[in-house]
Amino acid sequence: MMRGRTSDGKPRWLVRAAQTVRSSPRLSSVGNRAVDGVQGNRTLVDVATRLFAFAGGVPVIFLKGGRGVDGVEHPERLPVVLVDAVGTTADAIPGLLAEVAHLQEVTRGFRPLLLLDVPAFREVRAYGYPVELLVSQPDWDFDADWADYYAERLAMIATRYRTWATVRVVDGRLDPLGRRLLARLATYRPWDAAFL
Amino acid sequence: MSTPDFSLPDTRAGLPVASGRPTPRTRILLMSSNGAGMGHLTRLLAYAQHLPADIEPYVLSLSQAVPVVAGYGYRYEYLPSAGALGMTSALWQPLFAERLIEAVGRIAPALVVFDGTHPYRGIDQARAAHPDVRWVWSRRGMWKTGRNSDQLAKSAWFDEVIEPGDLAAEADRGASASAPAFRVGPVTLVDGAELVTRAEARAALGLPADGRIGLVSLGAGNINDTAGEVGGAAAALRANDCAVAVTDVAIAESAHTADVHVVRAYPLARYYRAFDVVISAAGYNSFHELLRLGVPAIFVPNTETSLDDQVARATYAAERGWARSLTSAAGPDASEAVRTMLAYGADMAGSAAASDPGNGAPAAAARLMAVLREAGRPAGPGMSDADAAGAARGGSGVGVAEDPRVDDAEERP
Repeated sequence: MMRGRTSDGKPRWLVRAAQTVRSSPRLSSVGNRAVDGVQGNRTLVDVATRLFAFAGGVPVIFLKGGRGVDGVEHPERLPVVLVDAVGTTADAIPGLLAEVAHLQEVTRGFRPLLLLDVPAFREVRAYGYPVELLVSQPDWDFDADWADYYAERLAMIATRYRTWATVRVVDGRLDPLGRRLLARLATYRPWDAAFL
Repeated sequence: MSTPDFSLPDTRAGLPVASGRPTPRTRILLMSSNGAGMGHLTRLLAYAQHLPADIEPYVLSLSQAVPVVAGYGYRYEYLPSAGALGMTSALWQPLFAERLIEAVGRIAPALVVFDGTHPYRGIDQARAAHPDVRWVWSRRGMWKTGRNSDQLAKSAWFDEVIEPGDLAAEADRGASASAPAFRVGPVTLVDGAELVTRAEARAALGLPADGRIGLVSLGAGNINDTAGEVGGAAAALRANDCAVAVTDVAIAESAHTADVHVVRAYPLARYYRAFDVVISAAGYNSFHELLRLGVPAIFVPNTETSLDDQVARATYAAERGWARSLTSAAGPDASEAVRTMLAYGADMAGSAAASDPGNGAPAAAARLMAVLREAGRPAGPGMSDADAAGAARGGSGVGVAEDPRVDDAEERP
């Protein structure tokens, strides 16, 4: 590990500064105003993101949002929702994508990240969504338990993509509660009220 | 000017003798960078095809084209690139490192081969996490002058650097040209012996059996706009009684005329005899496939690449009389260039093939085996000299369009 950096490469001074700011309501307020001032500058916002990404109600992250949120101002504020489609067959993917895209167009309130175990890259790319691919259970021949591998990937995704929620897919469709949760994002929009 | 050293190393010394008892296959993890194009993936496939049978190639790619390797019988995994995700590098690099460390630990390769010109931060962390694994950097040359020299220091992350040769190496003025590396001949996935006949190629691609056909392989563009590259190339072909083939479905679908055919196959090079002339960018793979396979070619170098010096490559080929090079396919010279290549292209391409030192993939594969031996790894019976000289290969996958304009386009981490 490099001296002066955390395990994931961030400068320690930056992490300490972020911790100080997060623990102080007054400094957080200053931070809010400072970030408002640098919106639109990708580099500066990225620095601010590294400082404040986990302090707000909705994680902020630069991640492709898909065609359904084209034109949305500051799409980096929209919640990232993992659509866990592991086990969904290739022939069901187009219908699932259409369902996700419809909800996204109606709400313009989330960014889906697809988790698949079939390589439906072309289909997903047509919607502009990011995708993660898992080794499928039938193809698994490693020593470890496939379920542990799956769980580890979910943990990694939650951390690295700062997912706000996970919606499962059942029989090729979003599970009913997950569908309702996504639909709520048409009106439940805390990110519109505050940057952090 | 110096000539690159394309010599083949000894591939048998030190390899254990097969006992006849089944042994677990040693895995080599082939890792390709970037989210667009096929160049890195194709080069790794070329290496894989020349590895001994007791080595299991396993592919980890940042390219969504990675499923093509299944057509060769290889397993694969996908790791999204920063560009594919739209992530900043500061957020992506920890993701990359975490995924790579997990994958190397689980797949347990004896060797990792990274093909790319920008080794991502995280490779060093994976190496530290798995110190028993050997690492090789496959790094093509022909870098634009003054670019990317900082990346050369990352050679220290690797046990070996292999440079796939370039037929235009004499024109290489980039930072990697004088850097230490194990240099092999130009690497292509397809060799001349694998080309199918013109009739078979046209049938396989769904093209008319008769008449001239030119392939336009210049990336995306409007085929109806003769002021643009794709449209200009198509107009130049039509002016010489050539039908037009493209690799991009969207281009073909937008065409206002019926003489535009879409061809989709991987590797498309196997079917090059279907075409009377190819108008192509001058990326590493397309350049070497076209010249090594003796295809009449007009190169229109992509000047937008961040690192790959396509202009130098194409200019060198034109100076040697191997092909024509145009600044733009929409310029006034395009029609004359097509006419020239239809008349003399076969002879010109033949002179290029005569300058070809042979496919560098067998030598690269042999060097990978040598790195394994040096590490004291069980490398199995290994390959014979005949293997290393270039054994016949099988395997194909169909359904992915190649885009030579971006075949080495790479994201800088």
